[in-house]
This record gives sequence, structure tokens and C-alpha cells, in this order.
Amino acid sequence: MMPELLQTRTNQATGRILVLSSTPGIVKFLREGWGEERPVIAVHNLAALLVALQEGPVEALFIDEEPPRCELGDILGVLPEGNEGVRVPVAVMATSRESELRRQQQLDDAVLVVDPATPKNKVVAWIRHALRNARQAHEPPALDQDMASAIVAATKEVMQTMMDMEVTEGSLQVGKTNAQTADVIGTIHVDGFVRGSITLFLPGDLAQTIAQRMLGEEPAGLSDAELVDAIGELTNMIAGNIKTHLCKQRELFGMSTPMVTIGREVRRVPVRKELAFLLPCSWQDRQMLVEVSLVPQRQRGPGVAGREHG
Amino acid sequence: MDKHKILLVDDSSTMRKILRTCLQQALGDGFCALEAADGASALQQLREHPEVCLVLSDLNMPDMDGIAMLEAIRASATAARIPVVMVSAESSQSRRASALDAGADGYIAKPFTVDSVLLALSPFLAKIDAQ
Repeated sequence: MMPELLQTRTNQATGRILVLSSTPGIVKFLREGWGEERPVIAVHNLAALLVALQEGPVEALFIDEEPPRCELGDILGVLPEGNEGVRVPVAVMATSRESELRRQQQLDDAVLVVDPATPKNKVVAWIRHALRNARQAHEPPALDQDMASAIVAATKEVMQTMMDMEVTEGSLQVGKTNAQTADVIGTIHVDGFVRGSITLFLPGDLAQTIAQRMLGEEPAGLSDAELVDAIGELTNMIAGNIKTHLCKQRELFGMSTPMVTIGREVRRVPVRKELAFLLPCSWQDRQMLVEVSLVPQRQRGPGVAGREHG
Repeated sequence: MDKHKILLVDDSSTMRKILRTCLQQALGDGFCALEAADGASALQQLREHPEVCLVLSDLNMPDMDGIAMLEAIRASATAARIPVVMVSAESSQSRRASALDAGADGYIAKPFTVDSVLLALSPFLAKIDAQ
């Protein structure tokens, strides 16, 4: 019977299992496990492995802890990204339980360490589980399903709770980041499993009203510094709540400190056009725009340069 | 009688003012708010004012974030027992758990109402009133 995991992989229908191992019977064992659907190919040294990696998609690599005629570190260092940027999952076969535990602590790249004394059925279950976990850890999440509700809920909740301003949301638009003009622009950059930005575009009088309501002061009494800080905090709260809605299962991204630009009809022009969700909101005929551009990363990024801001 | 000193830690002056306003509604003029814009400044304030009876702190701040500050407070000989309540716009379970694991006594999610802040702080404010 085909392992459940591989039955679900439709995008790598021709993916191969590569084996660089002198472990007796391992190739036969894997061929019996995966049958004809996934070719199990034995390679005997690093050069042969590199050639095999270039020949097409690879589902997983099984390798001895001490591979023949090469170093394990050299192998892990040259593995390319697989389909959609997902690194080839590696199963390292340890020579003993002790070295298995050591390897699990030392090798971030190895997703599975097999002790030869482990019963066969447990190895199969272990392989399925480890590869599934590795794939989930590397796969960027699907965001668009919850995005619309997250943007709407976060914006309305923050505006209502902190400023007692009941905003009316317009139709959410999905497009590309485009040039936008506004008097006050607040932006938070994000990086992680997704990267991008969350940006508020506000007319000056609405920004003043929001800041005044946040601070409980008269609009005329606000300095530019107070306006910048208040809109920065507004941006932070809306971005943080969008993140909370999107990251119920796990942390998808970190957030930078907010940046706020004020002026008269400031024009923001994106260098690159990325997928963006645009939510126009209105309050007493004044309109603001919430732009969320989150692009899944092929590999988790190092995080934004700035510290997070809560 | 000396006023109770409460330390507000947030890199946003707007948020510090909002929290100060919330506390005024509960305690009137019976407290004195000290302020800090980051964790390092907060620790300095605690060294200068060991009589501080409550800390409200942002979770994520530049230079020294709220978790690092909290760990330093808990490791301090003089400030370890001060209640610390974290305030953050990120309110996922993992963020809350990391704060509580680090020794936070409470967690307030932004946005918040005055009532929700006072409810979260009520156990600590009651102790302050009783002192």
C-alpha cells in the first residue's frame, strides 16, 4: 500500500527517492514501501548524487550517517531546493541509538534519523510522520482564504474599541500594490513565512481626528510628533490584530516597528508590484485605505531588521 | 501619604498616555505614573524607584523588548516580586504563553477598553489600595 503521505503529493508525481547508503537491504525496503509510484534510486557517491539531483524532482534523500566515500555535511550542504522552493527532505540513518540522539540534536537539516534496531513498522510510521512534519514546516501557508475577514475584523475592531469610530468597510479588492496618494501613511513591514507590508493611507483630517480621539485632545493641540506616534500605534494595532487573526495556529511573520510619513498628498510608489488586498473604509464620508501585501516566502526569511513593536 | 508608583513601559507615547488615562479613571490622583520607552529604561526606573508597585509593559519594543525586560526583573534581587502585566497588539496563544512563561502576571490585548484594562488590573489595584 502506498504511504498516505505520498498519495497526497500531487505536484511531485514523478519525484524520486534517492538512497546513498551501504545499509544492507535499505533500497529493497524502500522499494517495497513505495512501489512503482516513486522510483527508489541507489547512488553510490557524492558525484552520482549530484547528477541524480539534477535529473528531476526528488521526493526525499535517505543517507547513512557515515555515507560511503563522502561526508554527511558535504551532502547536506549541496542539496538544492526542490519544487516550490521546498528543500529536499533528508532521512539520516544512524548506526546506533546513541548516535541517533546525537544527530537529532546536531542536524537541523536531517528530518529523520533511523536507528537500525528500530522495528520495521515503526520505521515506516516514523518516515511518514517526519516527512509530513518537514513538509509542513517548509510550506508557505495559504493566506487568502482568511485574509479578507482578518483585514475587515481587525480594522473595525481597532477603530471601534480605541476611538469609538464605527467605520463602514467597502469592497475588498485584490490586485497589485500600486501607487497611492495620502496625507498620512503608516506602514509596518513583515517577514517570516510570508513577507510584505501592512499600510494605512489616511487623509490628513481623518488622521487628526483619529489621533485626537486616541489621545483625548483637541486636534489643534496635536504636534506632528504626536500625530506620527498615534498613527504609528494605530498601524501597529491593526497590523497586530490582522496577524492575530491569521496566526491562530503558528507564528507566520514578525512585524517591524511602524513607519509614518506625513505631508500633503504624499505619493507612495512601490518598487515591485506584489499581490495586495485593499480595503477601503469610511467614517463620516472620510475614507481611509488598508493595504495588506503578504507574499508567501519559498523559505522562511530571517525576519525584519527592526525589532517587533507591540 | 506617598502616591503609589506605577511604571508604564511602551515605545509609543500615545499608548503610555492611554494607559495613564485608564489608571486615572480607576485610581484618580492616588497614583504616580513613571514612564519608560524601552526595557532598558524601565530597568533603570526600577533601580531608581524600588517602591514601584506595578509595571504595565509593551511586549515588543526596540533595544530591549518586554520579555527580556521581564526576565531581568524576575532575576532582580529588589524587583523580582513586582507584578508585571504585558500589553500587546499581538494576542495569539503563543504570544500570551511566551509572556506568561517568562513570568508575566497578566496580559492585555490591544485594542482594549478602559473597562477591560481595569478588569485585568483589578487584582493588582486591589492590593495597591489595601496598602
